[in-house]
Amino acid sequence: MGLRGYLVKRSINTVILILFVITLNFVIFELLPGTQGSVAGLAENPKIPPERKQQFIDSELTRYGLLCGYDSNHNPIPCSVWERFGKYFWAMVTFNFGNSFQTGDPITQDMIQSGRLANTLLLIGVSSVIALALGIFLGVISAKKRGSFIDSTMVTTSLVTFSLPTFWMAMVLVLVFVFWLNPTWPASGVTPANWIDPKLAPTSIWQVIPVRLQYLFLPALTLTLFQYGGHLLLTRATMLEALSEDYITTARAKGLPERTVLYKHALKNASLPIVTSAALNFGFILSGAIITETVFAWDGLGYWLYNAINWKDIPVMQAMFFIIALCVIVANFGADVLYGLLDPRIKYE
Amino acid sequence: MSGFLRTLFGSKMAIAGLIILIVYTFLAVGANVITPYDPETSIVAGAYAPPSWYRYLSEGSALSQNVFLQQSPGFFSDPLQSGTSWSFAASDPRVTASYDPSFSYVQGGGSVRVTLDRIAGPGNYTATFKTTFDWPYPGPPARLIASLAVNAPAGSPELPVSATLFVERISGGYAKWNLTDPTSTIVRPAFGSLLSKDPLITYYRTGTNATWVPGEPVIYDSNGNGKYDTGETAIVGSLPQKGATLSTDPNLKYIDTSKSGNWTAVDSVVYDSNGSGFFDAADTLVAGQSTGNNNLSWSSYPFTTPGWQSPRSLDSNSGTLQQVVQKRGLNPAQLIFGSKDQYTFGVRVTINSALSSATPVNVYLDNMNLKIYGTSFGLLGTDYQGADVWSQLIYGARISLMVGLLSAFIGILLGLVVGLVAGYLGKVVDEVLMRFTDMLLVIPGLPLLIVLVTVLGGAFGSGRTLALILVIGFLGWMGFARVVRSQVLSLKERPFVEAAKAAGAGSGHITIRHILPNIVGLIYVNLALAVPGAILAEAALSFLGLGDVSVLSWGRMLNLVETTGSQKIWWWVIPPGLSIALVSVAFVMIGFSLDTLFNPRLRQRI
Repeated sequence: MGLRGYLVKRSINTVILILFVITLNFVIFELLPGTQGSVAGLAENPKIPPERKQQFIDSELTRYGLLCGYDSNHNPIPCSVWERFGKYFWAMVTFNFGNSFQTGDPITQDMIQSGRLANTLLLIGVSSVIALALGIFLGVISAKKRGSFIDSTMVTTSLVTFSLPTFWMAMVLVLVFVFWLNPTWPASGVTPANWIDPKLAPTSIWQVIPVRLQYLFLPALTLTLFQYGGHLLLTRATMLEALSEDYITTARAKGLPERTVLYKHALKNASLPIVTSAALNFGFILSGAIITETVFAWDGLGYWLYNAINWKDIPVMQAMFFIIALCVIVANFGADVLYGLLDPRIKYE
Repeated sequence: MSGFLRTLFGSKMAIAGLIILIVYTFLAVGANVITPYDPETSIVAGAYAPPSWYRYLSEGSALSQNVFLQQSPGFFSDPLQSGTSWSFAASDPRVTASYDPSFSYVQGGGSVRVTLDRIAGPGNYTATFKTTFDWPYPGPPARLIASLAVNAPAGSPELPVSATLFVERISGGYAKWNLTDPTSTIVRPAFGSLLSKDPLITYYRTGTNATWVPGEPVIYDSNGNGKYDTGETAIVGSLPQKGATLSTDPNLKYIDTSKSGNWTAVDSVVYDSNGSGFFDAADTLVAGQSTGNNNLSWSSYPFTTPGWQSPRSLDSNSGTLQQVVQKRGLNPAQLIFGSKDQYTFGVRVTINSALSSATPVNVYLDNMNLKIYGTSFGLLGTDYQGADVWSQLIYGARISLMVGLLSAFIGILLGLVVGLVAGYLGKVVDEVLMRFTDMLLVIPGLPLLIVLVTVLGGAFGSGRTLALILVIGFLGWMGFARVVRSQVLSLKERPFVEAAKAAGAGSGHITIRHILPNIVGLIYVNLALAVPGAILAEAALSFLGLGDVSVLSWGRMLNLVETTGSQKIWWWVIPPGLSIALVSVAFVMIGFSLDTLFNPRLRQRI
């Protein structure tokens, strides 16, 4: 099978996976008890006259997609599971996630216009880039000095940061940086709380950037520490493999400087699995981001999801689960495609 | 088997892992025996009390520990006989005290009887029954709880009886702070009385004619004769810088300092509690200017019903006293115990007899105790309520280990079954199962866990821990299923399986008798490696507030830290996370050692 066949197969798998996630998301929330009676509870509002109560209940049930017309005796017909699934499926595919219980606004608006998506992307982007650079750089050093004290220290440190609970690491960073070193350093939020008033928010970008970087520092540091260990270990492993190859011996025999051997010859060949694993680990990073955002009250998708849990904001949870899963699936697909395009040696099964 | 154990114990990594695990298992199993306190409901010291050992560092030198003057549950022997610390004094010889060994609030105990002989006619009488004790710490305590049970004749206009608990400093010259009714008059120094040298106490300003001007700063004994008389001035000190020399003049008024040395409130005094002469981190802030009374309410006195009144507690953390004093940023307990000194604790009984009578008045006192909660406690300090963090840690070990082990077990069992079935049956079954496994592997774990626990948690109600175990277990099988399947695929082609087939063995028999024994090592290794993931998952979910709120786990401890805004309480933040990390690392180390043990290829390499 050639590259094209490989891509077609991957695409089909991805589509099936998305359908599976949509179905799973429906099934899980179908299990949620307690929808019965909540609309009837709303109808107890004394402002609704008793004769209009049934009409109110019916209109609300229709609005929620639970009531599909009336039979000949004017009895309401509840929607079947299939009808509901059909509506739900179409809504998910068209990114129409309904309204948040907390704000009453459309979820896509709460997600994008409020800047949450941008905040999460900023946090993940900055920390991933730094973690990748740091992990690769230290991994190369570690592989170069294999067996030395530096090597074992770096491997141990990365194993430790890799296995520590993320939220605890974040809390310890707050303890050290905020409470012990600098009590004026911001420990939560994306921007100072008073910036919500446009009169108090600075307009010049040179005033905004340093403050925003200050707020970004601790969450980004947490997520960087969370990620870099994995990159370091993988780089070290692939570099060790690459360094034992014949072409490295050849390069060294040619008298090339060690720097060139390491970065031009070994790292170039070792980098493919690192890059693709970074894409494949997207789900893992998102999990870390959810926790990190919660600790630092970083108003991104993860913090939103956390608030949705506390508010029992089901539409937001449903939408967030779908979006996060979608991102991960797309990232996986991207990694596969990247791998197929970059590595001509790959054997397509 | 012994060879196996010998090899296992030959590995340093395995031994380190096993030691950590044994310690934590011991703590988890023996939690009831190791600590007498309930992790959440037992209040053992003041809120946010650092660990006891912190007192040996210079930062914590002003911290105090618990002092319990426990006469509870009652007087089982005569406190009035010589040799005890209790003493009795009365304003008139007609008021006497004796020990009644058979009449008591507490079953089987006795009580102290204060008797007034009313034959000589009406009058107002006071009697005090008190004990002395040492407060051995340079800094104040966090909280005090005093209690008393009284049995007195019902109050009537002719015979009001009242009882007041008090704690006083013995040394002369100090103003005394009584725990009396808040409606009583403000304690002011009498004209000509000694002025306090106690920096805790501030007075109102005096004018030239010695009248009180409320709401003004401290009196400074400017003529230096040590008495409050005419011509004293009122002074407000300037703000000291951190590290500045503190004035020894107790009347100088400084402004409140918090632990970090930042100014926070406007009307309290810095008390140089560690005696260093400098304003530094361990100094306690003490009273601001007195704006009102500083007393506890005890509304059941004077008595309206005869017989034993159930013992009332005077708690410095609740009631009127706290509200009044809190405005000054202080707890009454801190006002009373300013420094190392001797104190008295007792009850003052007042009987106003309006008539002559042959019947004496008897007032019985019992169940007197005083608990002074210190500002440091135990191995790991206390949380936001004053509960023991060490107890929380070891009870938390139970839940975290249980959830981790059981979820990992469920996950490994499911993975084993799926892997065996897929690997051995092959074809369509294999294809379907592995596609399903792959799909679940791609879906991000934490969001799926969050959604599932939210949905199922409601259905499980109080058994939320079970919901956690099941959800984590049922989402933790995919990786192992793939491993088992690939092993089975390779084992299936081995000669011994073919031999078994030739001998007529069925697939069930072959799977269980021939294939399973060959992957036992794999099961152990993966079980050990699956536990950390499960522990971390439980911790993350509990941290997000999705765990069982009726039990403590390490994750919920950190959730409590977060929700009560206690991020700076390091003795509460560090232990649970460190324990999670240690236990996880222990399992990983054991897993790796088992792996090298079962996997000869790895063993040769090392």
